[in-house]
Amino acid sequence: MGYDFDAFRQDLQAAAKALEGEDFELMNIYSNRIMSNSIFGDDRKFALPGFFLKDVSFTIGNLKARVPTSAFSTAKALASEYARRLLGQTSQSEFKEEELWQQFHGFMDRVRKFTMERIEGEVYVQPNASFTHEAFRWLISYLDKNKDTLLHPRNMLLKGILNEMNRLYRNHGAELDETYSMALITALDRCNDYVGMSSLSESDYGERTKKEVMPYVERVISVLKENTPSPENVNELLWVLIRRWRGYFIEFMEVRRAVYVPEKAIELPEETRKKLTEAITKSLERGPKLEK
Amino acid sequence: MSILEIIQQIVQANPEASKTQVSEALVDYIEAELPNIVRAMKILKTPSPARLREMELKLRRTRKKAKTAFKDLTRETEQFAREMAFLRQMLDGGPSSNFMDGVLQDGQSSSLAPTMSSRDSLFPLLPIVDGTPAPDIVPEPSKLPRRIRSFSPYIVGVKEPEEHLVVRFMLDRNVESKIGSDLMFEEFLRVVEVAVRRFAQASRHTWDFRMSVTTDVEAPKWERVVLRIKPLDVDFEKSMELWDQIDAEVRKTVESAVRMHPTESERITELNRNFFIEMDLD
Repeated sequence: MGYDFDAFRQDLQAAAKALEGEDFELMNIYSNRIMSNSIFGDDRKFALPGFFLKDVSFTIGNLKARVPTSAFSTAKALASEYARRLLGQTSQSEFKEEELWQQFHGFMDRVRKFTMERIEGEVYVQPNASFTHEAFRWLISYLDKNKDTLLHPRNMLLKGILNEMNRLYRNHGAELDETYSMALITALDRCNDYVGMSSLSESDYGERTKKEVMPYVERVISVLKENTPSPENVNELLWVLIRRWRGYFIEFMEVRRAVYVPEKAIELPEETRKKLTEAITKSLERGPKLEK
Repeated sequence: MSILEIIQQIVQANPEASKTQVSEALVDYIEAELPNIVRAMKILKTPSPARLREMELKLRRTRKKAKTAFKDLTRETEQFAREMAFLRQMLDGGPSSNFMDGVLQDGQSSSLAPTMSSRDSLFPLLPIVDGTPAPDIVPEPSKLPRRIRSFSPYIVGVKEPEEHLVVRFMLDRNVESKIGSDLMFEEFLRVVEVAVRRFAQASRHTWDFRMSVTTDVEAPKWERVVLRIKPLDVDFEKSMELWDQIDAEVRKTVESAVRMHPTESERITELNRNFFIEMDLD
């Protein structure tokens, strides 16, 4: 069984419609669906539009959240054009992965200005992709040297690297090689999140990371260490990571603690609890009045 | 249902429970519900600086006691509103700045893991996955829970999320196509949209914007980009005044964009010449 081409087109159209309707949560869901459906077959190229649209949904969704001061409508128009072109590029089942990458990179490079803060937009006017390239190489090498940190249950290494990459990409622009790098690290991080979420203890986390994450880390470093990563290697590894990630989704469903957020609770001070308990107790003691 | 009625129901449903057990159960319930209560509470609106000034002028001729009472009330209301806004902000994930952590922990350095800012990401990291969007991502219990220890102190600069005053900012398909195919046009519109939205937000009026590409019957090859503006809650005279102001603001912003892109100045100037802001009088 493979990914039926008509079903693929329907999924793509659903994501594009969600974009038009500015429903970025649904767009994200439909994008994930494209990736999930692609693993039913073995043609890796069908997963790519889902992977790209998922990022479009996040990027434009974030701009919508900042709408009082962001040029959301212009950015959304850019995204709509991207989606229309993607639909055009994939109208035949024999589409080319490399063309999809070029189109996606073009979109990301254009939309990055919209994600800048006001001051950044005023200062980082001219792109400086060579700086981004060198900094990315440094980060990949840093990952290589410090990969054992991933065994620590509270590490944020992959997210920390992505955070630096995002900032560089946003402010200085980048070439296609850097879009490859971010795609692979993002996919790796998504798998890593599932290991963190489903580990039963700190030692289990370490063991599982060694077994389930480290082999991919080695492969990602090996592909990205090249000055110009081979598109074939990037596509193959991304496909492996997407398959693993959608497999994790089948096994564990939503990631529930991938990102640290402060605990959403209010703790009453002990003194307040005591007073409240006393107050309630006293009102209970006036029991008969309750009958009125 | 009043709290007394709730207590009555609990007592009736648990005739064997002691009063202390009932009250403890209630405290637990109230504690668990507090975040929802805080979120649902209507925050008092604090008066604008202009309104405050007006009130001060009115109170000039009143007794000192009344003036003091007014000032106290204003201060307390403002403090309450700020603290409620702060609490809500914390409940929704909290600000990631270390300043806030410092305030919460009485100036001691924070030992918290850094929070990820999803907007700092071209490949954002918030895990919303197929099936159900997961807005309520909960932390691993062992990961240093941050709890609110106190409703105070007074936090300067915390405010409720801004109310969106732009009801619609619509671009027609022709504008979208031009954005997709023309980098400078996209940059021009980005600058214009930010300026327009900022102006709308600062004006405190609600707005409807629609942008389209139009041609003239007499000069069909001349394409004009028209932004139709409509302030929704003002009279005609005020509309005209706002029209002048928004036009001036946009032109000023475009001029500074010309200075930032000296090599593209001619192109931006040309785009500016073919860009019109019109009042929607329908």
